Amino acid sequence: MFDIPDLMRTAQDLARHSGARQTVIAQNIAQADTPGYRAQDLPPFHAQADRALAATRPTHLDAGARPAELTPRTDRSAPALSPNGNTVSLEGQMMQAAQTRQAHDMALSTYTSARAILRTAMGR
Amino acid sequence: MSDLFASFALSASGMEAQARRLRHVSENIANADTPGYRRKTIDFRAEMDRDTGLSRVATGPVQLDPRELPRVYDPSHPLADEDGYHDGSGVDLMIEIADAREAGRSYEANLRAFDQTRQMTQGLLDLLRR
Repeated sequence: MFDIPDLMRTAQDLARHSGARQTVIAQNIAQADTPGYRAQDLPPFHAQADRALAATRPTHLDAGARPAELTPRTDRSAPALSPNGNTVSLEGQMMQAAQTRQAHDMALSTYTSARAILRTAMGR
Repeated sequence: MSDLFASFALSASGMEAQARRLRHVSENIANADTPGYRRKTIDFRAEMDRDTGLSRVATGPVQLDPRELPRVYDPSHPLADEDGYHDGSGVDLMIEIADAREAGRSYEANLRAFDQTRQMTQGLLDLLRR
């Protein structure tokens, strides 16, 4: 029972991660014909078990910065360059979009059922 | 959630750029037989938004193809010079149609991304309802 809020937080993190990844994918697709553009991706999602270094106050180091997990970086696994220097493959992006969609759906379903369990536990 | 809203703008900028490209392609095709016409092209570039750190697609100004125009021999043509030649159109239909296909494919990919973002947003909003 006391694990439920943790579970909800993890689901929330996963939803946030897949939302950010969707944005990166949308950017890659939009730039699919821009000369010299390199495809980007986010690091894979890992549930953060320990939040020892969490910035809990605005004066903390890195408080306003985006976590590393949500910072896009150049996708090294992108296929070979096209003649104009672009590395976006639309097929690859579609695959990633499907994965992202699945992760997002999973996060929302987990959140919904965790909330239902919590409600039942509270007797409502 | 704000990430998802940003990706709407990104997909929209992609669609806008592809639509503009398609417009110039159709202009070129329409002028495939116009004497002295040079094909118009636009270039795409990534434009970084400082606030979000994301890059939208921006289209550059219209450029005219600097290639030399083909010379057409037709002495009866009003534009013909004393040797009977006039400038033909610089449009190659094959290139234009390939370009149009590519633009259409990219437009559709952007539309898919837009639709998926919309569905994800909808999923989040549905959480509030139940």
